Amino acid sequence: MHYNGQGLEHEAEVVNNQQLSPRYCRLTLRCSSVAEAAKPGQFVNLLSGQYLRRPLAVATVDDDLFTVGIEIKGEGTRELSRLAPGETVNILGPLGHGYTLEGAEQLLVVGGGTGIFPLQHVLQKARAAGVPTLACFGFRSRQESFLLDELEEQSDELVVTSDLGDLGISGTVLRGLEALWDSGRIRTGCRILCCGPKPMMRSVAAFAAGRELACEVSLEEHMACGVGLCLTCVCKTRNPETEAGYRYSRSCLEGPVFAATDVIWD
Amino acid sequence: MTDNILACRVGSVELANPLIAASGTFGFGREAAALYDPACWGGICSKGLTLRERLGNATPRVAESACGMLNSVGLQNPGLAYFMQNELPFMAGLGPRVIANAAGHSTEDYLSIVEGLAADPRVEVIELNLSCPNVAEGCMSIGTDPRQIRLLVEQLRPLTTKPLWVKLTPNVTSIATAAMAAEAAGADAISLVNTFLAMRIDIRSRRPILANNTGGLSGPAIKPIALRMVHDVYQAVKIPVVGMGGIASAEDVIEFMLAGATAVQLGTAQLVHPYLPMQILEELPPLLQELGFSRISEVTGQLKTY
Ligand SMILES: Cc1cc2nc3c(=O)[nH]c(=O)nc-3n(C[C@H](O)[C@H](O)[C@H](O)COP(=O)(O)OP(=O)(O)OC[C@H]3O[C@@H](n4cnc5c(N)ncnc54)[C@H](O)[C@@H]3O)c2cc1C
Ligand SMILES: Cc1cc2nc3c(=O)[nH]c(=O)nc-3n(C[C@H](O)[C@H](O)[C@H](O)COP(=O)(O)O)c2cc1C
Ligand code: FES
Repeated sequence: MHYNGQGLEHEAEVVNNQQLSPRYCRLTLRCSSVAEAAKPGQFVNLLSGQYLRRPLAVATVDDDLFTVGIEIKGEGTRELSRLAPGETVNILGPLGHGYTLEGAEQLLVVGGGTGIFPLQHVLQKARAAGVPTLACFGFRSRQESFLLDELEEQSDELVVTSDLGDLGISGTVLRGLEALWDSGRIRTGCRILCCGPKPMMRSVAAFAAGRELACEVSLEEHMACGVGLCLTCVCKTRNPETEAGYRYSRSCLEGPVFAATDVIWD
Repeated sequence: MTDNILACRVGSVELANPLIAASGTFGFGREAAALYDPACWGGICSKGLTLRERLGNATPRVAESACGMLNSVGLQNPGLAYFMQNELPFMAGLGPRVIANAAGHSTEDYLSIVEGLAADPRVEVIELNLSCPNVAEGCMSIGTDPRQIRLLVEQLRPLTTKPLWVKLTPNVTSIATAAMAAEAAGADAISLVNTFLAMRIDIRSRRPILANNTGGLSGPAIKPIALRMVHDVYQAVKIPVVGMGGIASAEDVIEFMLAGATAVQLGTAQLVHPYLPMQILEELPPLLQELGFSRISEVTGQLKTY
């Protein structure tokens, strides 16, 4: 199907496709409106050969270019990972409600797997705004880690953890957070911004709540439209107005980023 | 005034063009209004409205399938009173004909909703949803039984002089019989189809992909079946037919109109391509000319069967 992109729809040119690890790659796309407008935590929704679009977080921006990191999961991400420089991909974006960077004295980004990508964007924007950052990223193993030099450069201070224990601190990101806390490097007025697998975000939210730190998490729900039309991508958020005590919020519009205290984890 | 070759009418309802945003794929117009000017539509349908707020089903609510998707949203909506007060004024300000999609759990529900909608002049059409596959009572359980369709529509008909469109489920043996029941009870038009009850399974977890186990299939995957059903209904009733099911192009619009639709609804395709209505509206006039029609209303029912 061919028609002219309008508004949030763009034909983005693939400028580069870089393998990051056996299952991960990163596309550099040319699209000035996304590169200029995207806020950390926002995503783009890409067409592949599959019927529905695939949501991917905006990872880094540079002039009229931006990158998305891809973990190959199924057919859609496999097709996207095969895009070659010079090809174009139809995208909608930037979409969604991102992280709050304003008003924090320090930002602590915590992520694992694909969750690292939107947090790279946080680190970029925080540095530009002069907000000090700490980063704590978890990988399965050294072999499955990626972008370590870049992440080191982007954050004021980086702590890495690995499940297999062959890289950085052994264990989950929670071990890393505890190490940071014990060494006193997390200041009062620090805000935690988190993205990763649900169990991880849940435990990071509990860590933050226990220490009275503000915390925002980015949820991944399956989406049909990504722009708020269909109500398929919802997640449970606390709401005292209803008898049940919750409502379903759209993760594509009200989210994907929510205050951790608003999320009902079940 | 310039001659609008895309103008059409569904009974007494005049539309600037035959494209109507399908219920449940357009919210109440606010999200589309953030992307483009929704005035381009001929009509816009509200999300299915119930008397009281419904939180909707558990997630996942969407599963992809070849050329389409399954949804099990479960009529998440803020309820009639909230709609009338907070959403209807906005919808009515957008320009296109305003169609309220009414869903109930019982006859009493439907009576109260239609009564409520009938009282407000900003509601221009009431589309009775007798076809949602994702809720336990009402809706599809009524729409699969022609006798119940007739009983219900007969009770609702006296409550309003507004056009009453009855939206049918395709999950029946004879859609023509269902349409005739609605017509006999006084419906002003038939809209069809709603989604096909369907399922997807994750072979690794051995669980259905949808938390509701089943959901409704929509998108291009259902188009040929929907088209056949529009054709069946067009032949069976005298009232106008509003066709939908997988429409994704100007050619698809013409196909449905040839089969008998006087207007069409666009759902799933504009979830994936939100700017699609504008593209179709641009492509329709040259396509009409190419096909030898001088206006779109001429296309309805011009199918030449063997
Ligand atoms: C806001 C947001 C940001 C994301 N950012 C990234 C990112 O930066 N990098 C990255 O690699 N992945 C990201 N994801 C996850 C990514 O969208 C899915 O891995 C991808 O859609 C899977 O598609 P598939 O065809 O490969 O897999 P399949 O499992 O075959 O997909 C089948 C269907 O399920 C959906 N689906 C499957 N897994 C997910 C998931 N985890 N989240 C949402 N939908 C899913 C697909 O979109 C598709 O509709 C993000 C998801 C969301 C919601
Ligand atoms: C996410 C979603 C939600 C829907 N919600 C409703 C609804 O509330 N009321 C209704 O009558 N139909 C609802 N439908 C059905 C559509 O209005 C339409 O009948 C159907 O999807 C077929 O058209 P399509 O293939 O163009 O989407 C919904 C469809 C989808 C995909
Ligand atoms: S994906 Fe359609 S509302 Fe969020």
